[in-house]
Amino acid sequence: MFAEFMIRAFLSGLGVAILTGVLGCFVIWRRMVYFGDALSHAAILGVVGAIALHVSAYFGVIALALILSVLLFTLTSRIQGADVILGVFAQTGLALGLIGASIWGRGLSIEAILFGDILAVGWHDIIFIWIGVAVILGIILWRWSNWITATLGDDLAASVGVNAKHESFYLAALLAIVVGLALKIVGALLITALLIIPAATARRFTSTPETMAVLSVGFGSAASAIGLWAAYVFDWPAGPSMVATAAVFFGISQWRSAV
Amino acid sequence: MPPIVSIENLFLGFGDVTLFDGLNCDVEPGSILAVVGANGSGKSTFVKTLLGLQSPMDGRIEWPVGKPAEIGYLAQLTEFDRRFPIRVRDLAAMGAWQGFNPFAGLNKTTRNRVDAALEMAGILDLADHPLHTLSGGQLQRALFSRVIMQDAPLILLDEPFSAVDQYTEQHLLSVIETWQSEGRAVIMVLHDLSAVLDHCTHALLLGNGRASFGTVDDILTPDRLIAQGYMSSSQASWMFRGQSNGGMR
Ligand SMILES: Nc1ncnc2c1ncn2[C@@H]1O[C@H](COP(=O)(O)OP(=O)(O)OP(=O)(O)O)[C@@H](O)[C@H]1O
Ligand SMILES: [Mg+2]
Repeated sequence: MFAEFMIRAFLSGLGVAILTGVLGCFVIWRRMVYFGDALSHAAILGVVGAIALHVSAYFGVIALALILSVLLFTLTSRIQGADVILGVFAQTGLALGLIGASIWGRGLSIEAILFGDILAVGWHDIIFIWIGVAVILGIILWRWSNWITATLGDDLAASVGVNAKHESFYLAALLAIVVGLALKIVGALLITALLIIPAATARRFTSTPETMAVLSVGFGSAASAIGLWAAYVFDWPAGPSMVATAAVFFGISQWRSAV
Repeated sequence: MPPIVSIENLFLGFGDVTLFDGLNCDVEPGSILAVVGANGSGKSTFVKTLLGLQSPMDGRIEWPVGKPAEIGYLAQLTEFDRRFPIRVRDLAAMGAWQGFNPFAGLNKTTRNRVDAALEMAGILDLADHPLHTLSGGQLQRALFSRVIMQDAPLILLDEPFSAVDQYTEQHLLSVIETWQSEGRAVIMVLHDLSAVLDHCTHALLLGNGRASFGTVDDILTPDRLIAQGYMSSSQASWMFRGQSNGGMR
């Protein structure tokens, strides 16, 4: 009933929803929303850079996002008013990316970078994303208790021998990779939405971090599948439909807890 | 017995600011060290330096029998977002780091220990409540139960009673004395001098750029307390009224 491109879209959307669902919990717990935003906006520069250097866009985005996360991480852990620094990075990255696109990006669709182009993902993208899912989920499970402890504060972590600074850094690096993997699917402007909306929805229903992560993946996956279906049926853009669906879930969860 | 931690010529400060320097002190197993001083004198900084979160400007912190894998710690202020979804019970269980695996669940021994720790901190009835529903003092008790679970040879408490009622304070002080009898060392920041006199073996008085360490009787004298800016001379003469030898007892 669905064309093959829809199956590809579903598979890639699901992979991204799993990753953003879990990492989104940490983004919310640790107040890293601006950090995710800065990474994803600046990722545009990575795409353009990759084109200029004739390398894979994934490589460009992930490399740039990693460099940025190192930079942002060292700056924001020293400086007060981190939101200002992050805002400067996000918008500058976007601006430079758009200028770069006008120089090197002939034939490049700015719209695809900003809002994603899930209908254009190929099987190689899917393989890439699902390898990412396996590896990243493995890392998250392995570091889970350390990251939860680090989330409770540098001092509580230090008291059980966990170096919170190191753990936060690994987390930031992983977030950079996820932004790189998700860029083609939802686009630079909407990645943050997939990070925070499912996790914020899940928070309403949970009393442990583990169930919140699982529910967040559930809400994210459902939003991605329903959003894609809506996009197919009504001919809407795919990334925005996924985000809008996630927002509907969020609205319902808020309403439910209000009554 | 060798001291748990041995501090030599410690100098703490930030940038151009000196908090104190030249501190020498040994903390023995079974001792309770009170850290006393005016606001901003460096009490929390001292505790965080022992935790390894802050580097000294100079001096050495030695661990003669090795730095413990865990150091019990109760912060003056908890910094994490209270909407983090965790129940009181699980927060306490996280103190038992060695046996903590959130996916496997806790084994029966650990579960019993968690219940006992919650009971000791007087918060067993709230065991299944999420943190964001607790009052300030209840949160402090929950964090105290986490310290009980830590089972550490050295325990650092930064104003542990600032938010709890008198009854709970009394109860927690008896827990602290149990730790003492088990041979653990406790370092706690306190403003309540009568609690220091009743429960602590040693005192570290910070203030006016100096650090004085010794037994409680040697350190908590009116002259020192006035000289290091902890109280005015009229407060001291009220507190030490009827005594001529300079000690409080
Ligand atoms: N990260 C920091 N950078 C610069 N100065 C700091 C830092 N942390 C603390 N200080 C300063 O060091 C001094 C000591 O702070 P500290 O928190 O140790 O005081 P305290 O004795 O615990 O005070 P209180 O009784 O209010 O808890 C204060 O003047 C404070 O402003
Ligand atoms: Mg303090």
